[in-house]
Amino acid sequence: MAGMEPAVTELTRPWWDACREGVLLLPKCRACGRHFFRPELACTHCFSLDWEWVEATGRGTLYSYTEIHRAPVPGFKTPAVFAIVELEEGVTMFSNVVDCAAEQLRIGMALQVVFEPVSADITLPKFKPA
Amino acid sequence: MPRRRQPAIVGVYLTRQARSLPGRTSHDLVIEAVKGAIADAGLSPRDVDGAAVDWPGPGGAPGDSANWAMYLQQPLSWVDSHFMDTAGVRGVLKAAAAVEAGLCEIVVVGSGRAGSLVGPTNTGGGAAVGTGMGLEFADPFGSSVMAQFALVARRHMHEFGTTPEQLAGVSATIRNHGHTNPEAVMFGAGPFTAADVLRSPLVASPLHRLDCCLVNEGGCALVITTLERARDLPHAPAVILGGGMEFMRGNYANPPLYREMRLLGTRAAQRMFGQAQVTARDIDVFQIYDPCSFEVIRQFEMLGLCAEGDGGAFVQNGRLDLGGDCPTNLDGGMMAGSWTGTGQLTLKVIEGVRQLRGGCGARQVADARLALSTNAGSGTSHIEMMVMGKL
Repeated sequence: MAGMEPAVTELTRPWWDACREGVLLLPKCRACGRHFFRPELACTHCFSLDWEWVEATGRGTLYSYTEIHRAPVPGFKTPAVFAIVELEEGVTMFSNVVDCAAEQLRIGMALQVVFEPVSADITLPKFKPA
Repeated sequence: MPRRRQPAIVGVYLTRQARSLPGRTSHDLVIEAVKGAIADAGLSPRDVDGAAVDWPGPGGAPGDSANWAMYLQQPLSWVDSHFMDTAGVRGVLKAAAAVEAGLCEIVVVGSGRAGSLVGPTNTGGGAAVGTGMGLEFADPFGSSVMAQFALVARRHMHEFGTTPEQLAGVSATIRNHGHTNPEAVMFGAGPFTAADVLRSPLVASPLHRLDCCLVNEGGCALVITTLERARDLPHAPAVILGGGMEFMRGNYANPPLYREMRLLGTRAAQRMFGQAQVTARDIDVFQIYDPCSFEVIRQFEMLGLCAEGDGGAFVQNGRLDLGGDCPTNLDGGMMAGSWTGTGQLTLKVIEGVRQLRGGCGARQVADARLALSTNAGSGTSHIEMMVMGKL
């Protein structure tokens, strides 16, 4: 993970803390009622600063993927599946698909979040076939 | 009808572009490029009163274009210093707007790069080029520039049946252009077939190594002034007829969704063609941003030269070759010509200028009158484009 550790900020600390506890959080706007991701100071739908963290179901579908064969930094294990996951709540996020052979990957396939600790501080939410 | 203070490009220069340029620094490459572009314009450094030129250092605040006042030996009337403004279509359009507004008379835009572009931890050239932005919700999952473009390509293949062979056909075409351009990094490296591309290792599926652009070193710059001033200068001016830009969001931080990126550039193109009063079908020289083969396909769809989903078939059978309907990246583009971080953005403009001047030798488009240059694309969530013409 050298070089790829996220630079956690005050804004995003609750999200990473929840991942470490095995919970996937999403920002949800109190003004317009919609989820957004990634975390931003204001709702990306309606610009309201009034939002809260809510727990996601962890269910989603595969929007697109690529099997990466060249590591972005030395030590990053390849091949790995870098993916866009569309969550039930209507937001998309980058993640990895695990426990699935590359030839089994299908756009639109149902996915379920799993959590993989990569350091004492950081646990990554990844997805496996549901 | 020419505008008052109509901007035009009057000088261009590129240093040697190569995998590595031992003994060179980014700074001396930019100096060579700036001096070369000014000389090509038939001007002297003291004629220049605007600078959007990278300042790699040492000395002075890194990146601050105002440092160039020292070498240009006069107070500057206008500078632009962001690294994305000191190169390419964005740099040229901003400089042209400054000239047209009367903020300055003669601007140099340029940059150069020597040394590793793939991060301080990598010295072997084996790592994927990262976005270099420390993106909290992308990098930990293995994000890289090519991986993000691959995500758009994969979705296009899913929706329209675009094939790896079609992508590889684009790569082979552009690489063969570089094979015959003595200034290209990959001069003499080919010829290539689509099968060669498909046999090269996968970088980020569906993109093979030969579907992806180079990483190399070099510098380049160009000079912009008014058409009125250009009439006294040695080269036929490349008149900036129109431009457009479109930013979906900041680069690489959020997933590039095909359903959004499919249209990236459509509005910019309408703006650009509206100003230039031409259509995509009038273009003689296509300088399409080619970080990977797929992006060339998407941009032909975006320009409306074929229907969405038909790009994979559109770009085959010699259409992008010299003599085809859409001669594209005849200098070898970024896949076989050069990619230096920002310089390739400028080279998309420089090759357009040279084609309009004539004298490109074996790769010259006969009677080239209109050149289109594009920068960036779907994987990076923004695009810039411009049309130049000759008088």
